[in-house]
Amino acid sequence: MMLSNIFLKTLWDFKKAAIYWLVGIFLLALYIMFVLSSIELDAFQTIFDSFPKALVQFIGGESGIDLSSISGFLNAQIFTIMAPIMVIAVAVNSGGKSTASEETIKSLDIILSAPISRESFIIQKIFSMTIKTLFIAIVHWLSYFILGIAFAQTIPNEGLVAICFNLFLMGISFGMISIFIGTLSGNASQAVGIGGALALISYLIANIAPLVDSLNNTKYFSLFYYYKGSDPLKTGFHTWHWAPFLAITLIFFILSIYQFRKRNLL
Amino acid sequence: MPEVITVSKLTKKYGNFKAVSNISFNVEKGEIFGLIGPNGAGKSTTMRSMLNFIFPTNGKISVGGFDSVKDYLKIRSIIGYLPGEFTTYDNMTGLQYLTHMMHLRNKPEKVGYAKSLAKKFDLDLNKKAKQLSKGNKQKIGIIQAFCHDPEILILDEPTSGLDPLKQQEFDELILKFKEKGKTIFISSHVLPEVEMLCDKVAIIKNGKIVAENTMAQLKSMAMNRFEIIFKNEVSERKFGKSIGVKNISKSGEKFIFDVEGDVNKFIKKISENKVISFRSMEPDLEEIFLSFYKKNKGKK
Repeated sequence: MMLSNIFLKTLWDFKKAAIYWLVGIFLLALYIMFVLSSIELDAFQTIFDSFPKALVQFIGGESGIDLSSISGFLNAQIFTIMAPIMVIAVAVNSGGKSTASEETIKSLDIILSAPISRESFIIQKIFSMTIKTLFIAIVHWLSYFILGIAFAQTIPNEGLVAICFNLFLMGISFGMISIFIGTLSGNASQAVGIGGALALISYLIANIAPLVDSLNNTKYFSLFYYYKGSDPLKTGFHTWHWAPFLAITLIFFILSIYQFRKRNLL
Repeated sequence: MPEVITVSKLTKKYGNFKAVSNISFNVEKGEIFGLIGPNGAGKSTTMRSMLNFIFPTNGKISVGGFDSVKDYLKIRSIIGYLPGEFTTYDNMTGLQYLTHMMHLRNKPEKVGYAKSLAKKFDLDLNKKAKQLSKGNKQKIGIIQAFCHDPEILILDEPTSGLDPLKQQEFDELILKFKEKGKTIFISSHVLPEVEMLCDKVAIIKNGKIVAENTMAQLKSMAMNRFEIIFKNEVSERKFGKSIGVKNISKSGEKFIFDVEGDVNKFIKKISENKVISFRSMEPDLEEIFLSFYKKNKGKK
């Protein structure tokens, strides 16, 4: 029964959006795969090889752009900008609204007048944010996995799983930060806005830092570096890159519960 | 009767601002207790403290014998609550919302009773909340508070947005719950309704309780109004503060006296004159409320 608890009810709220995301991501993947299987990728690579290195790094990240293969194109385009935007949008939106939105629209009072502790409420909301983010990451993996086979293109499955898993971990990290901001302020738009802005700053740091030698080390402060810095689509899993995501998720999980427990709900 | 709600020296401060200041009162089992006061007086703060949404700065609250901070989950399992600003989820129908709430209260079997209450209130449970008027949304709020048959009801401005007919249905529902021995704590600024329903009333002003008593006692404490027609010409100056007269007005032959406190001296003085007509008017809650508010004007 989808309305039997807060976790399931939050997923029930997501059901329409989930279908739109599923169709949207799949259609985008279909379009990309159709175009890529119809054109000569080497020609693209020749053009990009003539670009200044800094510009190529800014667009494609530290590892630059490899457009000589479909997986290179996916790495440079889909998994550098579009997929992270989608995953972070869902995670930050879900996280920022999880407690703060209920507080803003005043529905939280009634929910918490039932025998449900604040801890249970926020943990259920965190789990639902995690599941939504995982869903978007899995849809990405499935779309490119299925369409790779359908278009007889070589996309290394281990790499695809690895980058989608990193995508999921990065998503829940930003989602948890948004949840924490929501517990601080009780203001949903602030929580979503700050979470999104942090993601944007993180993206810019990861892409700009390698261009300037003196800033190069600042990339380690960006979650985008741990997401794609090891080039997981090509090289597969790098478990040590999971550590910052897990640490941030855990820290903000604890802080969110602590903050939500101790705050006066106005 | 045992005390079901005990508020003891409750203070809630936000920085230097005291939302409620050292308030105490008790509500007995089976009683309907009204907390009245204007917006910002501290009514909602008191109610929200009972449910542990707000933590007291000082003082204690016990509901159903449970401490509001330590045993708040036990309190939540025996109460029905309607907040001052009730909102439901726009994407849910009334039935989906009530089903969800009854599951959260571990009483899914009560959905049937919710449906029968909806019929009583003439509410279509198959409409989504976004299609409902404010009054109809309020009905959902009332139903969710009552339908799991709680021992204690805490209701903040419950009839806000209801039309007069449905207010009457609501009053009947409240009285039915009282008959069952349930305790009801209600905050309202619809004073005639409070007067009709409540056994006991507390008046709150600037976070302080300025009066608390049964309706009958409050009436006796408040200003009494007398309409008198004298046979002879009578000078207003004869009736002063010494006999409790606060205010005199004249309309034609009719004198209207507002008398505070003990009325015996006043009646003695009146009887010195020949009286054609004497009418005592019982103050309603609105007058009592205003009388206490004026009395405490300026006190913060």
